[in-house]
Amino acid sequence: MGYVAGVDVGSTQTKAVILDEKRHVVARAVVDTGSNVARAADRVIEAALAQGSLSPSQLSYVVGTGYGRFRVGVGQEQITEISCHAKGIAHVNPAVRTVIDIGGQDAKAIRLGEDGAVADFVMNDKCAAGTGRFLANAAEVLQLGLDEIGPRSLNAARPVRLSTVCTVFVESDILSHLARGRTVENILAGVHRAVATRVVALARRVGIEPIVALTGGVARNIGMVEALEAQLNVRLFVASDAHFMGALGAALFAWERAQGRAFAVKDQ
Amino acid sequence: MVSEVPNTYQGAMHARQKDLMQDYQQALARSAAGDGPPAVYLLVSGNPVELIHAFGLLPVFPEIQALQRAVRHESLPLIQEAEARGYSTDNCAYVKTDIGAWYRYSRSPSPTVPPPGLLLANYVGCQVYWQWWEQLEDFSHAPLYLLDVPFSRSRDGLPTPDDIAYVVRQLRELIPILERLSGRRYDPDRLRQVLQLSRETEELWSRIKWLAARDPAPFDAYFDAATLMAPLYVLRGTAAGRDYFQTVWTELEARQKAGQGPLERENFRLVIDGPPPWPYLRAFRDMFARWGAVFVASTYSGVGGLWEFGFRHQPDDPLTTLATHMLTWNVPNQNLRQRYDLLSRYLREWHGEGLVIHAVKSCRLFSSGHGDMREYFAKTLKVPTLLIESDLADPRYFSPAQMRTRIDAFMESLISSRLGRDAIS
Amino acid sequence: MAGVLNTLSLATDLPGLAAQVQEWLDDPQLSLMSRLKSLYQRPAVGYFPVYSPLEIFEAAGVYPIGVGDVSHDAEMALGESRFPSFVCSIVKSTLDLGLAERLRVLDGVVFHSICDAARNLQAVYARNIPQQWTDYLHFPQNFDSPAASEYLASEYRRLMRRLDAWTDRRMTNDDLLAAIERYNRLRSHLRELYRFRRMHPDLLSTRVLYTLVRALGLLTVEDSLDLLTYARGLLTRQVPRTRDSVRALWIGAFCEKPPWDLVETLEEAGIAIVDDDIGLAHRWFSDDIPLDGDAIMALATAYCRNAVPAAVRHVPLGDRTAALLQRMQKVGADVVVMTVAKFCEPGLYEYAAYRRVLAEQKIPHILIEFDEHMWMFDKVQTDIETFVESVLLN
Repeated sequence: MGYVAGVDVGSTQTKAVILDEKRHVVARAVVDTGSNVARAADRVIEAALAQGSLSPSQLSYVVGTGYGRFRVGVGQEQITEISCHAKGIAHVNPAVRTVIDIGGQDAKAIRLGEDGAVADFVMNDKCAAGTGRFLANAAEVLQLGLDEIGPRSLNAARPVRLSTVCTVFVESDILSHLARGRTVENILAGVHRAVATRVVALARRVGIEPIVALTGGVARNIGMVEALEAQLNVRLFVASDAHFMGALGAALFAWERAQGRAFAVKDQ
Repeated sequence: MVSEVPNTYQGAMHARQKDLMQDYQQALARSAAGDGPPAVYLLVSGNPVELIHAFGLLPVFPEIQALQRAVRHESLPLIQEAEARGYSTDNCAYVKTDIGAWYRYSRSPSPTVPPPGLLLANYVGCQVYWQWWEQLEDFSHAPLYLLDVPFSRSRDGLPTPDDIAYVVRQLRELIPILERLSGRRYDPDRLRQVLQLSRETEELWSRIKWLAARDPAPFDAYFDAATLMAPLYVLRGTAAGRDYFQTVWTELEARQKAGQGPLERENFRLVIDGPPPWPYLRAFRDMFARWGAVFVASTYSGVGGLWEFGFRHQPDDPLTTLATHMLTWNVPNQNLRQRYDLLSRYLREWHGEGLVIHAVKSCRLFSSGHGDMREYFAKTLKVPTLLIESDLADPRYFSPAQMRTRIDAFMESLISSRLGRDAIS
Repeated sequence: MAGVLNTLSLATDLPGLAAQVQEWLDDPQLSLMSRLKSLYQRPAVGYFPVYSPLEIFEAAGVYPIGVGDVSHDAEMALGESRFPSFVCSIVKSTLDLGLAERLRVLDGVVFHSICDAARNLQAVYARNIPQQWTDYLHFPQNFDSPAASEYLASEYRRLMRRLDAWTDRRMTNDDLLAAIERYNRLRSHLRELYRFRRMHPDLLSTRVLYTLVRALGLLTVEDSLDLLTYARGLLTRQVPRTRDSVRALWIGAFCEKPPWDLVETLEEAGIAIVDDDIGLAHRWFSDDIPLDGDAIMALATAYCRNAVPAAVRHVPLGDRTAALLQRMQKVGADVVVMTVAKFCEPGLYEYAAYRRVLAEQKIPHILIEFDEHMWMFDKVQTDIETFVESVLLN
């Protein structure tokens, strides 16, 4: 049957995973999404194929996921990132029962059934508090890179409290703290705590059952991991390639389709 | 199945509805031009439209006008007009659509709608109603009567004898006001005739709703039922209204027997709570239709009255029956526990396999507590439940991409749980 | 002081007393309430703002607690999950207090029909905290109808039957008259305090007055009387502050509690508050309720005929705005400061109507949206200072 691929078109990064017939990952790639979503999907597949020394004709099935999946009609089939994250994590660690995913635009909590399928899920409401955007805005105000804010937040002695979790107002909040002489570390710890509070409230809606996994780009942020662990009072399972979980899930669906299996979004 | 689109079925019922609503619009326009009976502005919740018809007056529902403006994508400039005058982004968008229109046309919310002869604030469940009507009183200088209907407070939802007596007494106070406005004496026999016609309409409406419990449902009990609401509220209590619902019943029953539903195939039967996002009605419907999902029951279609559980107006005791309808037999005046019970019945008796909760920012009456509703259905009753959020008239609160992801993920999870069940069995 | 207050060793100056009272309200364990409950040996019933018939609780021999007066300073993970983001904080924080078992001192809670968001809170609270009983009162809105007060009397009788059955005693008309008499005295004390502040806003700050008014939500009427008597005794010992300020009518904070620092920010910016809408549960009637005849009917009639203006009670807009102007004149206010809780629909409609008339009358006014959890006030401070400057400079 050849190879299959999953492409996750996120708001900031686009990821691809290629699997062989035995569902082994043979190649992965990530590119910045940029303004041209269609191009990002093409570029990431090219990059992954190059990494695996494969040609496009060797791909028998491609599934697209992520927020840009419909705009570009990625692959033969599109499946939501909720189903794909669940699929990916259940493959990597079948004991996971709760998935927390913090993306750039959305935060979500997914409860998995015994079979690894989505039993229930919730996503953030209109308010973007508790998403990666909030962290990104904070980093921007403090003129720090996204990869810096997590580690620096861990050095806080007295985390500040934010007066708002509104992405729109976080800037003035942070500036007020700076004006009062609060350290960047303490402010960052407050930012991470505020996001964690929102996300934990979200996760409570589906019910938090161990093992709890964190996926999505924010999983690489150690500050976020620790803030969530503190509030959930559990250790999080963070896969080493957590940000590829959506693409991996999409690739697993593609593998099932190539096998002629019934999962199916298009026809039952 | 992702290619499902709502059918474009157009029958006699649709042609007849178009004619009837045109007649009504013309009556409004005549009244606005000073020819015809005065208008009574009233609210949809548990509306006592029978009383208006009994005096030959013209009922006007500003909510229906606001939602029609939202469907026609005309609400946003009016909302912004109201916001420029000090109404908040957090106020109800129906109210702002209407108030924006008052600012634009000053004498009434539309050149073809008469100004109110009476503002009847039938305060049934929604408190914003009388706050809205307070503002209209200020704009129109028409008299306001606040018909105060106590909220359903007990677990079983039954009104107390004091509740009924209080509403009946107010209806008696309202009668001389309607006499003065119409120039007609109150004729109890006339009201009984109107109520008899309502009763026959209600019987038909109830049977229509139960049709959706069958397999397949011959119409969508959310999207299609919503389009039947205008005739149900405006024409209930008239012969034309009764005859219209006879047409609807005959046609939909025939379609059901022929196995025809609103979509090519009925893959999912769902139940929904909350008003529709009118500015995105078509897009919202398509998000479900493409999965073959049909709503077999909705609480929104019960805002004006709940008749599918046996309540009918009783012509022999006109005022008490009007009071009972307003107190008990409509969705907005029921407390949240009653709404949970109602939704459970819809899921059970209409054979729904999942619940969609649509929280709308404008309507806290519907939406306050929606997180708890989700908790109850998803965790206690183990019903697949989706909570989504937008607005009923403000297009700024609807994000198509976010909405679609949530709906798609919900449908995918329904499919995978079906597959799981199949695999087990 | 005959009550339990003398066991609390109260501070001997007003700022000290205010700080002490604030500690009672801010205490996450709400330990004062548990302590008072065991001293009173009464069952405790919570009531939701804006108004609740406290006289009936007193006559029933229960300890009434204002759930809206208790501070909620925590992150609201529990309450937030049951309501959408566009519902005001007090609805969520009340449920949050319940779910976090911080209100376990309560045996029951009485809700009522003040707004659509709070309306559904009763059902959610009852479902999630089943160990407490709840009730829901419908306050009438049709004040043109003579039936309204009779209806409210029937609602009160229904509540009384429930309380009687629960406390296993029977309230008499005399019990109620005695309770009304005590609350009449309390309201009269409050009117005196308000009169004093109107005359000497420099001697009695709103920050202190607000704290005292909120404390009444934790006390029985006898102890409330003691506290206010004691506080009044401390009034003259204050050192007056002198500064340029504008005399303001502060409206809008009739339900969700404004943060302590919001009040302080207003005053620091030069707003001398001469009247306000805080603590309306204890200030609902502008005159004494008559002490003869049918006490329930008197209480119900007072609600319909003699209540202070509030956004949650129907009054024709023309009358409402006229009352606002009269009130400004009566208290000698030059400006209006309107604080509306975020997502509070009744307050926001009222603001839109007031804004029209205030603009017509060229009365300076400012709108500030607040949230009980708000704790940084830089922006409010800038807004209000600019407002004060513009008034003083014109």
